[in-house]
Amino acid sequence: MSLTENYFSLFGLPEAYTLDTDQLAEKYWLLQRQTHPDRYVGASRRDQLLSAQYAAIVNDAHEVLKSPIKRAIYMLKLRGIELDSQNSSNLAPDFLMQQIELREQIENIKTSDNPSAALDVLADSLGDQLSGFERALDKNFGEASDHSMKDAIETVNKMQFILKLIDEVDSLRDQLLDN
Amino acid sequence: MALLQISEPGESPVPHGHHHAVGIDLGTTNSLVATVRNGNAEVIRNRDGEALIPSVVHYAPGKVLVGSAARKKALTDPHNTIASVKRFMGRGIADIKTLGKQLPYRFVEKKQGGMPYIETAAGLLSPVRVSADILKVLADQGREACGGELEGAVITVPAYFDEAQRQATKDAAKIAGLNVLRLLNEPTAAAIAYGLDQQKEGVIAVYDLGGGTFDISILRLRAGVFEVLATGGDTALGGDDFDRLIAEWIISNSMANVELTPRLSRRLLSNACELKERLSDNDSADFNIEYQGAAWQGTLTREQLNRLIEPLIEQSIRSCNRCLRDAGLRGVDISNVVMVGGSTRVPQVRASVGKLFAQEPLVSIDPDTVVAIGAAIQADILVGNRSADDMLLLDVNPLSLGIETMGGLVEKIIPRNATIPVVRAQEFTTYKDGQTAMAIHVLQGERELVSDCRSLAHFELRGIPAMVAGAARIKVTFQVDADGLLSVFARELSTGIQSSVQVKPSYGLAEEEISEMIMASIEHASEDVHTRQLREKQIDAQALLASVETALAQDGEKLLSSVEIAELNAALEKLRAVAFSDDDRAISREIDNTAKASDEFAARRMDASIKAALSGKSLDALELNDQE
Repeated sequence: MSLTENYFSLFGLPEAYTLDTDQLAEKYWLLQRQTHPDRYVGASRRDQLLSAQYAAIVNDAHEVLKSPIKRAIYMLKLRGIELDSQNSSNLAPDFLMQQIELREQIENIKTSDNPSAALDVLADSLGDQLSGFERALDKNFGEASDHSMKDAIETVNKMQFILKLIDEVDSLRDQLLDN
Repeated sequence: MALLQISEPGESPVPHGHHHAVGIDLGTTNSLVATVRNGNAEVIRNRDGEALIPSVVHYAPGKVLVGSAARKKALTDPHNTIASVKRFMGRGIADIKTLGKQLPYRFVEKKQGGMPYIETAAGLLSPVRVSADILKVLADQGREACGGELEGAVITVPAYFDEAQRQATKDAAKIAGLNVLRLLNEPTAAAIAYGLDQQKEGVIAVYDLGGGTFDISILRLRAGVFEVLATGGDTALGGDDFDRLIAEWIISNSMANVELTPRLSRRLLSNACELKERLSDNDSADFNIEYQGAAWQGTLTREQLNRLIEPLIEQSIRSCNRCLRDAGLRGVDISNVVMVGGSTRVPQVRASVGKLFAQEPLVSIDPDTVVAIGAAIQADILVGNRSADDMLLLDVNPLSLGIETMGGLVEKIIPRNATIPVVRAQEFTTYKDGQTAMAIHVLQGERELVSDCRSLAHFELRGIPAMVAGAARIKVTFQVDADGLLSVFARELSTGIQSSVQVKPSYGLAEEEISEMIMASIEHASEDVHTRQLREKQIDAQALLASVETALAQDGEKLLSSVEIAELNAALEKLRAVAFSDDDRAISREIDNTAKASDEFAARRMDASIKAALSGKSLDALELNDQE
């Protein structure tokens, strides 16, 4: 399966961090039109299995390419860099400090007068941080030097922190909705 | 249509002839069957002119009645008149007890913790069997209307149906003698019917409140692609619950000290349903219940009804909110809201949904028939009656799937709302020195604790070589197919020892039971299990022969070396020699051989077709030599 070895080439897209989401969606549909099991209902069993396998790979590739963090981790992997928990220990103290503060902020929101408005404000600011990381990653992968890959690893680790916070904000929203 | 008959964009892959196929909406309260004739999807009526067939089956010794005739027996013979059987599909006895006290049936477990059977005058019957009896009637209606044997059927299920409920539905269809082309989610079916009809683009929400189930799905429609972004719901929430609350209200307000018999319960529920329907057009409605010489009267206003059902509607709105967030959207992002299911006729339901999405929900389409119509359109496409380029459907897995890990926790392997088909794997390890087996407990649900999720299956990987704790590498692979059904494989990586299950839920039927039930049906009385298996093998062999032969003729020289072609031809020759024989083991062997011999070719063709599609060129115009 030569085509499925690289998700970018599977989608016929240049291997760059920033990608055109409309183009990604169009390629995705094009690929699914070729591979989806709905096209092989009357086919032999082997062909049905092959179709399901390919369609699953296409879905997985789409999932990775459309997610800013998964895409970054995947691009690092293509460069032979596997992220593991050890990589995350050397984040700058001021970033970690900021994380603690943000966490306290979430705790305070729970007991505030208008939690849902406060959550919106926080979600916006977290979203801004995320966009900043994406711009940084675009630059890192563009340079593609050893040094810039180190920076990319650090940015991905920071991104993971922010995404965890966004998850927490979401689950807090859930709780608010349920009450 | 077959993989090995790649068609150019815009070219219909179907050679000639019309294939008969139907869409079936197997509902809690009513079921429908529809088909596409002369390009138009239409609901098929039965001989009495009914489109909505009540999902009620009456059993007498040696006699089965389905539909209105069965429903008439509900009041006089409640124990043997099975209604709303969909609520029992894929459920254990403990689940069924939570459905309410007024059920007039007696449930029996043949084996502890297994599928519950209903005691009837025709013997112990599984919910799967009762559903199969409904499906048989619908299939007959379909055959009659199409004027021939059906190539297959698309059967709809609530989007939020779990693995056990889906498997039970598919089993029922098999027992009814139907070839299931696809299990299709009900809201997705509605979106197809609605979207293709209106040529809509944008993001739509489908709010589907039926008799017994609630679904919410959010889809993006663009250029003939129906992409489900998220789905949610509740498989135990529907109009039946409204009826139950009304009946309870009547009892507590007007019927002090009355002993409830199954027959009176039935009567009350049907009165409640009628009251609810009248209150859709009126501000208040009177009731007058006469039963064995006694009579009770009263009035229910719409306002009182709204208060009664408000908590249930609120429950559905919470599901909608969660679904919106899963899709990464807000209520205002939704361009249209489509209402499906008879229970969306209740004004308060429409009002609450309208408020959430800040718009008037669309009620112009018939909420009762839209699902069957969508299923018929999908069936028509799947059997190849129209170009598959018209429409592409991308659906999702409604509930997270995972396995039990240490401490009674669930490790998710496939998250909810992952587009299907999907394959995900995760590695686990042993936690004891010298551990040679690993129990794998498959679960479905969103919660963290095993006890809060639905248990789907248990299986064991044995023969792991004794190593220190943490040294073995066990890869567990989950695969969900386009019907939303799960298979699980486990493999120890250092030795390659494997184990796999096609997940058969605890409350399901075993494969042998299904075979027996298929055999027991009249249509197959003349053949035995062996004849049937042989015939299936022969059909498989012919399908494989045809597809590889066509592929060779089209692309053999482009994609294969002359040595490879010769090898493939040799395999085909052997398969041809046994394809029509009655030696089913030889056929199986040669099918495997031919499949193996042509696997690489099939994969190269798939790669080539992908390249062709991406470049917008036809397959012939492509340079195909740069495979590696």
